[in-house]
Amino acid sequence: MTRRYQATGGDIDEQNGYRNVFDDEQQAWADAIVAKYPNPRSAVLPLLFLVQSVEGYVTEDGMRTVANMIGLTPAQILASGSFYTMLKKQPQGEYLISVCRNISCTHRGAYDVIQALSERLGTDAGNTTADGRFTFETAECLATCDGAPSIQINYDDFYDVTPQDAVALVDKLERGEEVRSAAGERVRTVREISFETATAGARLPGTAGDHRARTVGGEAQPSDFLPDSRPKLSHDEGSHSG
Amino acid sequence: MSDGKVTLTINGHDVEAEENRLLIDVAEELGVYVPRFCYHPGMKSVAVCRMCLVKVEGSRKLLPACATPVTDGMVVDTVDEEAVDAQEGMLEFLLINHPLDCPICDRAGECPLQDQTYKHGPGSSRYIEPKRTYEKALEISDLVVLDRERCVLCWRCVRFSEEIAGDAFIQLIDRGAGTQVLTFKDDPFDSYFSGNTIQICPVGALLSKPYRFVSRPWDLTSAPSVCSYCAVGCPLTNEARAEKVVRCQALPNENVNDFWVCDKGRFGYHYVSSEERLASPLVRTDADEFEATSWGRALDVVTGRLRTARRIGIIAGAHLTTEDAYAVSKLAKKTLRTSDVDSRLQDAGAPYERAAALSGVAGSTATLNDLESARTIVWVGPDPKEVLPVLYLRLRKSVLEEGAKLIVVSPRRISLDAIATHVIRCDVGGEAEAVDGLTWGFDTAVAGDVGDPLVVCWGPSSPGRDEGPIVDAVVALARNKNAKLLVCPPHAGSQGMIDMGVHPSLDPGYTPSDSRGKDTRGILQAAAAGELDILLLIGADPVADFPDGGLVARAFGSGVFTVAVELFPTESVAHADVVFPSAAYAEREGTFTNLERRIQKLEPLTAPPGSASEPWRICSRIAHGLGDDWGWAGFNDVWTEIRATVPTHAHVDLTWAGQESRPLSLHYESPFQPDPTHGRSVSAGPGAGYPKGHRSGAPFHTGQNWPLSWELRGFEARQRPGIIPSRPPEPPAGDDPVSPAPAPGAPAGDDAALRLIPRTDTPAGGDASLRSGTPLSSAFASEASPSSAKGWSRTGGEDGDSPEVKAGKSGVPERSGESSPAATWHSVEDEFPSFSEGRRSFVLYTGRLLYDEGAMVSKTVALKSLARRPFVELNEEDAKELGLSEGDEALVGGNGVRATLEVRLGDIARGAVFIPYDQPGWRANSIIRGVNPVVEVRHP
Repeated sequence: MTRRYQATGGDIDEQNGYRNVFDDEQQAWADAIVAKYPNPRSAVLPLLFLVQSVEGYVTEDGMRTVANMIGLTPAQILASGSFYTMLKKQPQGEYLISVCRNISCTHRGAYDVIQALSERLGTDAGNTTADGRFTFETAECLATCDGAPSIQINYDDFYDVTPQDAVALVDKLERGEEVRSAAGERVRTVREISFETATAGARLPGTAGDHRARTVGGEAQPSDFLPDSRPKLSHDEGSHSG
Repeated sequence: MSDGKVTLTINGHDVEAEENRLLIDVAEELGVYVPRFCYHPGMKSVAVCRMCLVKVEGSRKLLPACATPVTDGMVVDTVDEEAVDAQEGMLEFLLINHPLDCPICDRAGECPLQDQTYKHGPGSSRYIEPKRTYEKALEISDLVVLDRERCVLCWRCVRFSEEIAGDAFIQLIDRGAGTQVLTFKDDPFDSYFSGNTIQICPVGALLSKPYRFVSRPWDLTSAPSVCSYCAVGCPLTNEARAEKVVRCQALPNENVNDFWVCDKGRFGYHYVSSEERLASPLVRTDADEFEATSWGRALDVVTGRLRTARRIGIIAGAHLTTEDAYAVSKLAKKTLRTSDVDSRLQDAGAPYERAAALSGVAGSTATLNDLESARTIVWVGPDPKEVLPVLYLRLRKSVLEEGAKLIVVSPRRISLDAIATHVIRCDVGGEAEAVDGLTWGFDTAVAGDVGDPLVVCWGPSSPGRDEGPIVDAVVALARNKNAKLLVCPPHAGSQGMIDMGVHPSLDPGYTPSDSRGKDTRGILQAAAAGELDILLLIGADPVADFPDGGLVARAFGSGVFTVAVELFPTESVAHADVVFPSAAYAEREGTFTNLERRIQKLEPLTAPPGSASEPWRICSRIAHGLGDDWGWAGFNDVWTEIRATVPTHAHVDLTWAGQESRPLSLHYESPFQPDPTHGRSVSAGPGAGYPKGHRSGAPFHTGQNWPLSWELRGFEARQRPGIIPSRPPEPPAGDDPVSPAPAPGAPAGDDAALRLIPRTDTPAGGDASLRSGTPLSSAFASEASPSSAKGWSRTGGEDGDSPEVKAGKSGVPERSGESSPAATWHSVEDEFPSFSEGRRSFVLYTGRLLYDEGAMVSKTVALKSLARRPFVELNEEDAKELGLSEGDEALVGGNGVRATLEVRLGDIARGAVFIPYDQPGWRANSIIRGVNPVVEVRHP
């Protein structure tokens, strides 16, 4: 592989054409994010989340857009962004389902959940469904061993999940119904949570005093996966083969 | 301690060191080498490789020597069992993933990982699991190949490209367990300094594409040299295999280049062994073809012509060495008794001699190190990143590391704008006014930042325009603010040419000539008018370089008898009648004088092709043929004469012995240091385990066949600091220090004219005839008394001044005829009979890019492909008026020539266009006619 090019001495603008991924409103948010920091380069992570909220994942054009905004090279953006697993470098489903397969969860049937999800989604762990709605991955410890087997959908926790529970969750999300996590938060799409992460603490010009705060899902409502109900012995019976 | 010194103990030896220095450096100067991978003395410490862990008493843990400043009373042990254990452990870890493919690795034999494993490693590994693998050998640019498997994640390349070059195109990505070094997607490593990462890579992860699999290091012979391209003069080692130069690396010299060299210097050596080199003298036959001939016959033809010629013009190229320059000067002014000699081609409009008004030196009074101690730097000139790349690095360091303020005066955005404190975007030609503003404080916001110590940098920027008013303004600024002046001529030999008097009005040592001769333009004009009997081109290619394509065409069209001394059959050579083959920089002894007037020596490495010879020798043989025996047998004879006749160079010592030069503050590797602990036991001292005479402490010699890590060559660089010749005495305090520069364009009376600094004494053998306060113009006139111990004064054979070049009343040479833009414009009118709406004339502001169609670059395959296609840069508003936008094609015309060029929108003064001077396929000088050219741009 040879990369043919004309040397410009590092003039990025001349070397690479790219598509600016932000529309006007998104650009206003991007500017508001940059304005939060004394040095523009500090805004690299929230801007990458903003890219993810727009593009669904961190695209090449997105990284170039950010690089150009804050005066870094695309390579520097990639170097920072590639460290963080929540910034996705590959196309990603709307919902990321992470199943813990660490020791507690495995003991309590995590692999049954994994198998059930594989069959339901028609794909092995680590992949995205053909319709682009779900990405399914196995995860190391999610730090909720008392709720094993535990899964996360877009980083919201679900405890004591049976294979049937997992399949039911997928069914509900696929139908567009509301799903609430163990904490009672409405599960939102990758784009939604990326936007919320990106714009936390930022404020659009003209919206006096209205800093966006991370709302953590808003008002909690009853959930099938309430933390105060764990361990839900009823789920244990029959569903876990041990 | 109060004096900034601390005393500490390293391996049982007491050492005194300056406060805040790093332990690793202090230990090294003592002769205790602490192994390291990530530490590099040219960059900030990051302490990521953990190889340099040493034991410090009182510290619970081992400390990295590269990130630990020395403190008073510190007790350090680098060979403590615990430290050695940690070092061995680190090496074992580094080797877990490092493929042991040394037999096919270019680095093997000069590899810091190999060397330090041998010296500090555990000997064997306990690791048996599979190693990490990546796709091998990615070509991340046309020059650099990346093998990620070999990388030990030391960050050197990443830090270099961020910290030093400012081109952060190579990074460690996927940080964590899977960290790897890579560029962004398919973006090339598009840096002018990318080759340095190859040299500082401590393993074979970054490789030179042109050198890959070419040689093993122990098969190389090497010789120290100096880069033959630009005027910074970076010291290099050339390395050859089987009599062919195959590699070129930077030698560290903190006075000049720190540790770096640009890619043009590093990869631009192929031309030396090009098949196209001229190898024997050529004579044009009656059938109008070149015929290879003997030196004797070719010299007979030339001397026969010269004997009868009355009107002789000599143009020398600026890639010749200082000795060549002296020989050319002597041939012209002594043997042939003409002052019609010049070396300025691309910089034809640059009156370097006016810098002498400041201190008697037609060149810099500042050194490159002065940049770093400056509080303010004023830059008036071309883009240094394109023209003088390592000077750009020095400027960048001065601003970003040392906190100097930088004021950039330029009609067009240049690379320095990004780091400048103030950017003054002036009209083309408005630089003089802008600099006057700084001098007299018109623009208080900017002038307020002009602080002492001040270094004013000027370099000729746009070939083809008259830099005179700018130079006058710059000199006035320097004089008024008591500043040092850094004159930045473009090429490796430029300053040597001026020093040695290859100049129509200066003799060697900046002494004014008895009579003013013709400059390059004058010589070409004489040729065009049929008023020249013979034209000598010594390493000069006016067809490619002179910024007036029309004049050059007429000059050569006149059929003037032309003699060329050249490396290649250039376009100018095609017009010659006799051609002598010239030896290239790697094939000869010589010296280059850089832009701070530092003289550095070239050593020969390979043999020149055929019977090619050094230009000074050719000049000497021509003179001999004319009955003037200079008695030069070798290089040293030339220097003996230079020392005797050029007062400024009387004390230049080419052995470099006994010079006063600050030692490098950071010695990269210690084995060659005299060991102050000699006779005592330093168990892990340098050299242990290495072959005697190599790394055991004995100095090595040039050309030694032994693999050397490049770092070790730093020793040689420290022995070769170069020398800056003394300059004429400083002006006495009484000489009106604030005499203003003449206002640009306004005729200046004698009282306001710049003055040459009077000599307070008469150096032996020098011309010292100038009266105090003699205006420059009259100093150049023949009324100055022609006393000369050298016997170079002309007694006859004068042709007088060129009819076209006169010294005007103001002391500024006035050129008649075609110099006015209007004249140029009218000639274009004829070529564009249709007067369309969008037609406009623009001032042409040209400039060179790093990779161009120069004779040497274009014969270097690796660089040739990097040269950009020509383009025309326009101000956005101007482009809008013309109906042009980025990427469009525009019709550019001038001098009866038109070309279709791609449009780029840029930050450039309105009413001006930038066109790179010499890019593949099209030369900008073809549309230039006269001085200060104007071109027409329109929609095609």
